Amino acid sequence: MDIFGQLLVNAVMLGSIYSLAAVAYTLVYGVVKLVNFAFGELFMLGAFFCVSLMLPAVTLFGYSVPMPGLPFLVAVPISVLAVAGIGVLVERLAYRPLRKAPRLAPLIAAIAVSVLLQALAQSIWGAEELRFPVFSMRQMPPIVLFDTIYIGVMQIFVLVAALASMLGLTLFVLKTRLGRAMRATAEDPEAALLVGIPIDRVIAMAFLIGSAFAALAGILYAQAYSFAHPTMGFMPGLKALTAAVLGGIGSIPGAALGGMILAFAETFAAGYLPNGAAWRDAIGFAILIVILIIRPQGLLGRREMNEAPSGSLVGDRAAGDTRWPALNRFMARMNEGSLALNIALACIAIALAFIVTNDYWLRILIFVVTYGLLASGLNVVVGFTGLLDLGFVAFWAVGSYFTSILFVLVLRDHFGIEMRDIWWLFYVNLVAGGALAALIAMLIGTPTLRLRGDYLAIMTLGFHEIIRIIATNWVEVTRGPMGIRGIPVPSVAGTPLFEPKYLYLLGVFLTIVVMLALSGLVRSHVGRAWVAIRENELAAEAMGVNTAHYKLLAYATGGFIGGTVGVFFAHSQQYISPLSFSLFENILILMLVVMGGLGTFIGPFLGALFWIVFLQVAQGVPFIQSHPELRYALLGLALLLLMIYRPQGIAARARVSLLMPR
Amino acid sequence: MSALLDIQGLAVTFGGLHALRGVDLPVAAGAIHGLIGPNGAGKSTLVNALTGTVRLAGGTIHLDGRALHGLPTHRIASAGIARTFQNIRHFAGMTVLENVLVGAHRHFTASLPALIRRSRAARAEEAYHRARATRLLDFVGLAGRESDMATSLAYGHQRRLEIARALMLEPRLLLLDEPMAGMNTAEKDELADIVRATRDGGVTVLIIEHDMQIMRSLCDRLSVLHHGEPLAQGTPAEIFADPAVQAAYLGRAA
Repeated sequence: MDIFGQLLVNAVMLGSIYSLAAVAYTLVYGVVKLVNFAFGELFMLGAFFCVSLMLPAVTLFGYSVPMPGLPFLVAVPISVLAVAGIGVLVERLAYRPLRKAPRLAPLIAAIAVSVLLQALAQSIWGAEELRFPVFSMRQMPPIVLFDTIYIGVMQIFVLVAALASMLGLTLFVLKTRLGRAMRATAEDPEAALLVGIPIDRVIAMAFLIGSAFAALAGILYAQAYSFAHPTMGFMPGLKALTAAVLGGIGSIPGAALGGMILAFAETFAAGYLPNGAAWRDAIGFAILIVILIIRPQGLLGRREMNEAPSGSLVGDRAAGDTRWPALNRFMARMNEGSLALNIALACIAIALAFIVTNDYWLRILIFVVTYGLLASGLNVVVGFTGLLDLGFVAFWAVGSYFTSILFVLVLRDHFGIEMRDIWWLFYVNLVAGGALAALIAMLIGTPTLRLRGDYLAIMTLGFHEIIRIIATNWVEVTRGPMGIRGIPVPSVAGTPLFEPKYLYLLGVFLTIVVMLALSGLVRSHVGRAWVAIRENELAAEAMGVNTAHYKLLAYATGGFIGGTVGVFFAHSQQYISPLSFSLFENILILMLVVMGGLGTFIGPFLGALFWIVFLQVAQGVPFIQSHPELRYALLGLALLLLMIYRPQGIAARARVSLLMPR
Repeated sequence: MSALLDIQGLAVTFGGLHALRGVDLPVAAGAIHGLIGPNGAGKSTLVNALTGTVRLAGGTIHLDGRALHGLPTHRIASAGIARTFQNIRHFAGMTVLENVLVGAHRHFTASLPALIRRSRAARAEEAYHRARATRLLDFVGLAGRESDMATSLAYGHQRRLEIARALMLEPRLLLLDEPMAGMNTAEKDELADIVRATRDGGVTVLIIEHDMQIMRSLCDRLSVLHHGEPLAQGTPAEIFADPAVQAAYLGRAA
């Protein structure tokens, strides 16, 4: 079989699917300037609906439900319409209330919707793959070209469906009244409103069409791989977003071009590079990063799309709302940052080590400390400086892998050094791992400084994926998916801290040191420069703040904390693997910060405490025991409600003073 | 009087459109220099060009003999040009005092390690600038509002906050972009007094304002921009007597 020809056919098919989904992102972004992360999940829902309609019966919530067993060509339009309806509903319930909110709110809401839909799909259809039924079109004999290239009828169908949809959309946007209204809204929403364009209807239409495209792409993708799965939308969703950015977000031909380029690069890399299949995702993201550096507006995009919008990313939290006055009063007291209060908090944290005697709960407390610290690191970047980072876990991974490789693979396995003799190296590594992560943060940060917030988020996401793919595939250095075992537990003066009680105390001690250092930076001209950038970048620059410099410093500080926590994490767990650093962790840590309160010191720890205790308590509820993923659905729902009703987080009033204590 | 700020042949284009062309503008040290012109004359573009937020298509800018054209905004600010904004741009999530302290940013020298251990020098520096900030807030009439959130201030007070913040830079030149927009007569007079006191304190002021009555009494010199080009320069009396200026404002053929 001719490899080149076959790869070509595969690339065109994959490119058609990416392009369709990319249109969804591009269309909605063009009209409302929102990266609707939930399109990946609408993509997945399209596939599930279609498969379910085609089967004679499916298991929903564990019960077998009879289904009509429709033919493919009937099931497709019904599923596409159903998903389009869900897309409009999501816009109405989740995004429309946030249209006037600070810029971060809708983006977080989109992530929350994405988590919610994925967890719901898992509850409804189960965590197993749902096989795509065999249908007549797939059984037709393939067309053979030059005796060597096989083209299935479905592959032709994919291409034709994609071409027809694109053409239809282009005609719609160019020729119809509503299409013109859509372009006008994209150009200037306020002016569009003034000349009498019904903006709400136009935006709903963009979501309707976008969701339909995502659903169609999902169906075509699922039939190509013969299954539907609750998490199947995540990676293609990210790829489609990449394609949209690559082609120039807001441009429909750009989405098609971006999708094709991405698919060709991935398919041919997988086909020709040694072990290429393992690296194909990394290649896609590497292309994205290069494009964002050399041409941030994308291939066919317009420059204005990359302009940094002004206005606060997180909004005026101080003017916050008046709901929950008791909580606000309590948190406002935190604002004073009194020494006595901080000492009291530290004492409580230390006392917990002696009050909680159960090792299981002590380990949970270690998790709270670890995640609270991680969230505090991310908080420097997102909460104080207002830069959205979705790849923060990468720095955590860098610290973890740095110390694990050094201790286990280099010093023990290669040089045969006894772990006991180098116990002190753990403490050196807390700093060295942090410094390494900070250095990488600055390297990544430099080219992203020119990018606007949403692009920055996508780029950090891509960076994280690359780090994760390296951790999984560079087996010689990282031991791949097996992970690294036998990382020595931290010791004090040569005595290993095997007991969770002491490990937890070490974690509390680390937290105190990190938070004292961080408070030194935040409560000074550095912290004021960060918050000034968050609130109004142009004014900050006009006041003599070198904003590029201080953004990098925020990255480096956050990265440092991430790396340091990584070292602590690796040694306290004594085992690491790429599974600990999944993409979902990025979203989770961001949620902890948002839930607790962006730009506060106490918020990240409150968020971590709430979430981890909730996880444990929820495990005791029978219904959740049988549907563990519902915990994530609840997380998504809680976050969504938080964005709509209390976007400032639980500890909103615990605003950190930016003045140095006298 | 020698020129503190010397703008020569300044040009800015947007697409093919000349927003500014051949603008020469000398601002004498110790003066209150007014910049007037009909809407769309290019006044705000001039401020943006001067502070490095739009790219120059040509021309030079010197402050006290030092070339500033082509420098990034924060370096121009550090070189001694502070500004306020036509649309108020305070830092919403910060208190009044914190807002003003951002203006002192360029004066802070403490290193990161010194901040982390809160060294004596770092604390002394912070205390020094806090005292300055308190004096400046008093100067603009915001005494006692230090720990209020910036957003809780009344509109007119937010304008004053911006002026105090700009003065924290200890600038040679203060740019005021329509500082009196939306104020009543009494508020305008109070603000004019603040501007005079600022000049008397040794800071040269370049002010854009539409209220001609205020400008006539406030400014030592006036420059007129029309269609992005300089139309006239002189004392207020000369300018208001100039038929070309009257034509530009009233729309008659000159």
